[in-house]
Amino acid sequence: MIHFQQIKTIARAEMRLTRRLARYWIFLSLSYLLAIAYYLVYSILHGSFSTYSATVGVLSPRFLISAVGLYYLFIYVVGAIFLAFDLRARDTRERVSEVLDSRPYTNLELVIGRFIGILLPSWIPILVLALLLEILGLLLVALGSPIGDTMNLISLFGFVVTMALPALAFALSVVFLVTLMVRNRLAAAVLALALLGISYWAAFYLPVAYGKWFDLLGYISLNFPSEISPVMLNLDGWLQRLGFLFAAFGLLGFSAAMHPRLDGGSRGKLASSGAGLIILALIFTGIGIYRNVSDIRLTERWKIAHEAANGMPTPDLQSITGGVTVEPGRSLNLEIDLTFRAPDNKALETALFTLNPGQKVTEALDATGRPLSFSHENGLLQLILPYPLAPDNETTIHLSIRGLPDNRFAFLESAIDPGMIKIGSEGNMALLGHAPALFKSRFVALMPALRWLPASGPETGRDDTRTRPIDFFSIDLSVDLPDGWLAAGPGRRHNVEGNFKGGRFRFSPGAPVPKVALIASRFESRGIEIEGVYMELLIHPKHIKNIELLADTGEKIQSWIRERLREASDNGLAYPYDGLTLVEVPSTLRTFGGGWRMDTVLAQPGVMLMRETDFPMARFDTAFRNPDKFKDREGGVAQVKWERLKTLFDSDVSGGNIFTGAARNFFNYQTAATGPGAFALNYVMKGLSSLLITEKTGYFSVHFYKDQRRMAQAITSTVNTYTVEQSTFTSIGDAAANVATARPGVWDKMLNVSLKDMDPWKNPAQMIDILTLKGNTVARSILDALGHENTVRLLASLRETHRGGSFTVDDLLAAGKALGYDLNELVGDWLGSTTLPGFVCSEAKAYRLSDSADGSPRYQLLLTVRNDEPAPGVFRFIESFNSSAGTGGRTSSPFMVVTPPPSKPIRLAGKSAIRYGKVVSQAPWAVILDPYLSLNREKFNIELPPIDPEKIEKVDPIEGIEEIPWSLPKEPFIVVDDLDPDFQVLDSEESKGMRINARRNTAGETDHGLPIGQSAFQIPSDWSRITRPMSWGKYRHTIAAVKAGNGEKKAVFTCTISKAGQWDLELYIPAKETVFPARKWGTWHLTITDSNGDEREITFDSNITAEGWNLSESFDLPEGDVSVTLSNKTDGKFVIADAIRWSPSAGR
Amino acid sequence: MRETMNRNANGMSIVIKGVRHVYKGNAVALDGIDLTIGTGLFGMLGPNGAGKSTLMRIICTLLVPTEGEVTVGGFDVIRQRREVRRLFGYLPQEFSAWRLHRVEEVLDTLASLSGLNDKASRRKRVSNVLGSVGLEGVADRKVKKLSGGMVRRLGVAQALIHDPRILVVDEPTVGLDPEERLHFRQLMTKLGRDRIIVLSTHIVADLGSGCSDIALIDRGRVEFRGSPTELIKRARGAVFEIGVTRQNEAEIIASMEVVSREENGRDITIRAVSGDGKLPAGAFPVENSNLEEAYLAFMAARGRGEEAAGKEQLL
Repeated sequence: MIHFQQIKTIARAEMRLTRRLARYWIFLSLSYLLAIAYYLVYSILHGSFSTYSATVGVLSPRFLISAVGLYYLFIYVVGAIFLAFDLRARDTRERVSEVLDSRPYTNLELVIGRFIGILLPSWIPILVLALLLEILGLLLVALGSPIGDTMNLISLFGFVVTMALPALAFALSVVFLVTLMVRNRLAAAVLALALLGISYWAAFYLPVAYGKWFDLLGYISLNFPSEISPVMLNLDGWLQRLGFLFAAFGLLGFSAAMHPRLDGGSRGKLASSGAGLIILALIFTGIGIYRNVSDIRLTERWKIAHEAANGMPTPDLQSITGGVTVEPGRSLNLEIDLTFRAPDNKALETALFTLNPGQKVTEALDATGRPLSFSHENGLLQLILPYPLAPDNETTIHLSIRGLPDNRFAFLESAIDPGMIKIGSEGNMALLGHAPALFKSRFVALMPALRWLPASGPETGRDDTRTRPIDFFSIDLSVDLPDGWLAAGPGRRHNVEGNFKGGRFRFSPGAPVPKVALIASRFESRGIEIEGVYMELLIHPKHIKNIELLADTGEKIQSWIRERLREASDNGLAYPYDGLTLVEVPSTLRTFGGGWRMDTVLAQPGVMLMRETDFPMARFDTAFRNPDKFKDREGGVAQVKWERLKTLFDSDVSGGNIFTGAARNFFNYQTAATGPGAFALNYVMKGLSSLLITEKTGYFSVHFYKDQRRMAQAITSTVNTYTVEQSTFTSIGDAAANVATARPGVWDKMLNVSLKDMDPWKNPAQMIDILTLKGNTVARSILDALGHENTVRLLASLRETHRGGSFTVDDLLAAGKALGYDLNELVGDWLGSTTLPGFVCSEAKAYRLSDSADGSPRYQLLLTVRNDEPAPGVFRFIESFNSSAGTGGRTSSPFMVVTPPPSKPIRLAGKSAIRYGKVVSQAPWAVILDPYLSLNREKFNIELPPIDPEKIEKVDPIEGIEEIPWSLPKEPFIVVDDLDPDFQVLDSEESKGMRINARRNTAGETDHGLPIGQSAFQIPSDWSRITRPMSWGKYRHTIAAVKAGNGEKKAVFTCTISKAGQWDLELYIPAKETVFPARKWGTWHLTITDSNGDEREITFDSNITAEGWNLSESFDLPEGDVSVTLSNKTDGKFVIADAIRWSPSAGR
Repeated sequence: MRETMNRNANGMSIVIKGVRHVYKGNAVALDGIDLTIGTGLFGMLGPNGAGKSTLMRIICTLLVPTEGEVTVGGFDVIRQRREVRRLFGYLPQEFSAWRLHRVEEVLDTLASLSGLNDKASRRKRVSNVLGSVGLEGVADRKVKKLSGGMVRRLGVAQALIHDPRILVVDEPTVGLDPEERLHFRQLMTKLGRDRIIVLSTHIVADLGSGCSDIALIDRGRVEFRGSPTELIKRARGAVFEIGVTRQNEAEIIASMEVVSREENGRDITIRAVSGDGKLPAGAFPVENSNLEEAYLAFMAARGRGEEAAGKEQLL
């Protein structure tokens, strides 16, 4: 029998002791400081940036208690170890153990009492912290603070109870047991810390499906909070937390059994009770793991079944009509008619559809009302037709479907299995939500991937549009919902009058759709009809604050939309549906789909989903708390608000960019590409429609979230642009796309495999980045080449011809031809070829002309640009001028420099050249050539000669672009650059001898075959490629560099000497301050091997070199191949290989 | 319940039968102890290492004897520890308390752990006990700020806090000043009237006048059991006085267990015990020997005089 008075007494004494320990207050202060600091940091970030990017919304302090609490809890769990690690030792040390041991309580009472005595002083501060943060939030809100918010109560409770309690309980019980097993208190602490460390590692660095079971702190188990569909923990989460709690009690039982104090109780009983509890904990965990494994097996079984059905003739779905009855959280009933067509080359004996296995088909009737035989297994609905459906004939069947869809069925095929990500390094992906669909009592989100409506054919292979065209169909659905509920679906929601139990709505958008999403809840609605399209916003009643704040932008928004719709309509690309709804969804809803692309699911036909953390929670009140600040701006406050709103959505990289999302309705949801290159074609068309309709491109890749390094780079780049340049705000979308597409690995792949030949499943992340890099450029090039109106017509023509069906690249070319354009000639074979243009500015002149008639100064800018590659390309000039009194001189203050918008895009055919002339009134300061997509990879400066303002050239001004004959310059010397094929790197490996490394594609990312040097300050230990703008190069400027060594790592430049004789060898040295600042240059060792095999070893003192070509030595060389080997042996800190030059000595 | 009533009717006692305890390494601490201890102050004398503390710890349920059986108030110390623990208060040889607790907090906690559940009566009891050991002025002082003597008095207080039927005190006066020792002896005498007090010490004076029953333990065995008077009687003829000069003092006392030394001008009177009953030349037996001398004489007769006296002298 347990005496609670004894437990209470021991607990009270222990609490008293704990509270009087200095280390208790140290840990408490530290964790409080950290938690409050994190709260404030998140609050400031959210307050400052949430209106700039919808992606930032997840940083809302309202939802971040678990993130804040994670750090707090981690510190406190470590603290708890140091509170409990010397309990027994302390009693012995303080010579009170014998007196205590002789008191009439049991060891179990002692252990429980002490456990409570440490647990409560550890847990109560967490409760207090939660209350403090809540009070702080309330105060900040009450005071109208620009930052901070109250905490979401569900998440607060989740943190305090489900995260903190089991975590502290388990950590303490482990320490209790360890201290009894290991008497040395320091060893006990180390062991407990090691166990905690292992738990942390397992939770954060094992795939999350397994790791979450080790997550002591409960961070992974706790759902990202939602206000509109709050769920604290799912079943796995409860099992995991209860598992830890029971395990804690079990360990306490063991501790009592193992306690050295003699006790009247049975140690065996205690141990077996402890073991029982631990077994219970293991059962809980086991059930969870079993469920996970069963889920994996089940989905695998489904997948296999669907794969087996691949290749079966599939019906071409024409329409779905009927009724859907939704009882939120309880039931979903469908009474629908499917009209489908047999393939045009084959009769259909059975009609194969995918339908969620959680739903049950209760009745299937043919067109005459007779029952149909059918089977519905593994999500495959096979209807036996009463008679074979002749090719291209259509029929209608009726289905009665009952039951709730099974979420596990969604995304059977996925490039990334969210269960296999590692939270420690890929955890940002969790910010994109996890629930494939929702069917809760407060919120329903029936997403297409759930296949809650039948979809033709098996589920697998659906995303391979090369071989399986997207199935478009028309829809006419009535949806019954409870009273007060509203729904968003494809197009406009029509109210159906009648005597129903709740509300009935009809969705009949008037144009085909490829998929159907149905979102329902108790929303607030705001809507307006613009150009015949009903635009509606459905938002949670709690989140209407921003709508009120932005009420004055209504006119601007309407006018912008009207303009877009009218323009598209005028050119034949009218918005296809009768409505477009923007609907708020919980943050728990997964924003990404499956397949190789894992594209956003927030953009659905006729409806855009908006996460609750995005616009609804953005701090527009903070951004516009001083409206007077903006009243002098053009368009006033309303215009600034509208611009900010556009920025918010445009900078959403979590899939919620409504501009790019809504633009899909115009083209991609009406027709889609199929056949070779379909992925790229669809991507380009998506980019084009987005550019045409909303002038945005956007970026969304799940891999961006998965690769936390990339995400951090993009955020840093965005913040740097914002804080350093200040004048412009680079959206995180642009930064993310730049970071993704600037990666040398992406370029290497793009230059090796054509888009047509690329298998997206081999490296989906790279495929997306290559599509982003190439697809966006091609879209922009087409737009530039055809112009806005003609491009709209091109899309309209394709859509008109192929609406509800698919098209091929030939169809696109034909459509272009019909408009008078040869797209292949304009943009090259971008699908089938890997070639790119390469631009070289061979001549740059700037001089003063005679003044104009009105006496204004005139300057001539004259540039000659060659494209030395066979592929055509496009570039722009970004020019800057010195505005200081028109007298020019490139030495003037840079603050007087003005940079007008870039030039119009200039198209340059393969192996061709142009001369670009421009007469300007201000002295040209600098010119940058900005290529769309070229071997140059990035924009580069064109060096302008200094202008003598006093010297006036008496020549005619040259204005415009003139094609000039193209030829490569004839040089008397031979240059080998580190990017040339004649440059290679050799590593010595003792066992394998020398091995060529330069073209080896290592597991890590490479640039032109070499590892990429990561930092300006870190010298790589292997030859690595580093981009240095001041180094030698034709299209790109890179060097190869290596850390000083013994000469075992070598770089070799090879070339052919055309004529025997005396040749000078020069090495190119970039500006020294741009290489490895503050690192010592030294003497390098070179070996020159001629075609006779004669070797000459020389040294090269890099200390005394200047920027540019530096003569090394002269050699008498025979005709033939000569190599220059540069080893890593040096008395300096590094060796670099940029370029070498051989020139005949006589010619110097 | 009936059994308990019978025990009560028979009076409280500690019964030790054939207790033997062997520590690791075959160190025999107790070697067949048989004792029955009844109400009153029971003194357990013996040199350090004799096995007294081991026996005390066995009685207090802190140690399981290798052999034998011990019952306290009729309850077996192994099988009925909880019941036994309710009966006694224990002051171990080495005692302190949680340094960060206040004096009254220590006593309150230990009182509650000893079964005093009622808060008001516990407070009263704490106050009374603090008064009885003279710590009422430092009730709210933290233990870490107490002197050694105060800590010892706190030890006594905690042993008495729940008014136990049996009191087990091990070397209780170590660290106390003479006045405190006197006070302690008086307290023990008073308490011993209606309860069992087992007092283990190697300081004979600690037993005081209230002690009517003693056991001399040496090398794990009870070598004497009886009243102090009996022990004194046994020492008759073995305690003597001898006069020495400064010149020959060292030579003469080298072969005897000296109890006391008194200088009287040039004369020095040595009081000592003889282990073998033979008195040195010039010595004359003392008729009125005290308990301390009797104990030394007893131990000296067993060749253990040095251990018994040596430590005593040190103290």
